[in-house]
Amino acid sequence: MVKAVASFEEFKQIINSDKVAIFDFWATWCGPCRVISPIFEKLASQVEGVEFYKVDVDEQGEISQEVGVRAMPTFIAFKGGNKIGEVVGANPAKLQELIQNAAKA
Amino acid sequence: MATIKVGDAAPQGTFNYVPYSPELESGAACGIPVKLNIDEWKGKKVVLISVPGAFTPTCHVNHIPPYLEKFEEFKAKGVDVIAVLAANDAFVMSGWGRFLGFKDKILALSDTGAEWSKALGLTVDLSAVGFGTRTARYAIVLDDLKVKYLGVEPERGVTVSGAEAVLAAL
Repeated sequence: MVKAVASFEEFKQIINSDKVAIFDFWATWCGPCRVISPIFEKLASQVEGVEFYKVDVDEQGEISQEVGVRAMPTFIAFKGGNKIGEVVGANPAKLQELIQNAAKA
Repeated sequence: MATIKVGDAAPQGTFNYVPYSPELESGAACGIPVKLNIDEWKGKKVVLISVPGAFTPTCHVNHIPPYLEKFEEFKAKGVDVIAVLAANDAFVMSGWGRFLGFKDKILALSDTGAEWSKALGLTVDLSAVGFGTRTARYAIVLDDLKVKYLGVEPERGVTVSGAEAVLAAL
C-alpha cells in the first residue's frame, strides 16, 4: 500500500532508514499524476521489500523544495539517506524499472 | 519612460517560472512554478529581454529566436543567464519557451503584474488591444545587479533590444 507522508520530519526519518523507500511526488491538479497513480498503487501491492509513499507537493512544500522536485509526477527511490533512482513523468515502463531496480538494492 | 538608467542598481524583484525538464515536452509531466529572486543574479552577468506578451508576432518571429541562435556567442562574452520576461503567467511562459525551443538555455520568466518592469518605469498600457498593463519591449544587461546596458524600443519593431545590439554592447 502507498502511505501519504504527513510532515518533513516523517520524510527525513523514512529516507534515513535502511529500507528502500519510493516516493510519488504529485498534486491534485496534475493530470499525468492521476493517470499513473493507480499503476503505482498496483505495483506497490505486488512488490515486496520496498516501502511506498506519496507526497502532495502543495501540502508538503518543504519536502519538495528539499528534494528539488521540478515537475510532476516525479518518483524517487531512497536508501540510507541516498537517492538511488528517479523517474520524471507518467511513464509506466520506466516506473516499473525503477521499482524493480530499487527492490534489488 | 524608463526611470532606470545605465549604472543604476537593479530594483528588488521576484519572478515566477517553471524550470525546464525534458518530460514537459510530451505532456507526461506537469511543471511546478518556482520563484526566482533577483538576488540569485548577484555576481552574475545577465541578459534580460522583455516583451509585451508571449506568442505575440513581433517577438516570436524576429525578436527572441536570434538570442537562441546566438546563444554560444553570448556565453563566449561571459553571459551567465539569458532570460525572457513578460507579464504572462509562468505556465504560459513555459509553454512559449517550449514552443521556441529554449530548453534549459533561456529562462522564460513571468514578471507577474509587470511589477518589476514597473519599478524600471518600463510598462506599457495595452488596454486598447485587450492586454492590460504589460512589460515594454526592452533588453537590459545586468552585471552583479548593476545596469550595464539598457535598450528600450522607441516604437514597434526590434532594434536596440535585439540580439545583435545587445551582443555589440557586451
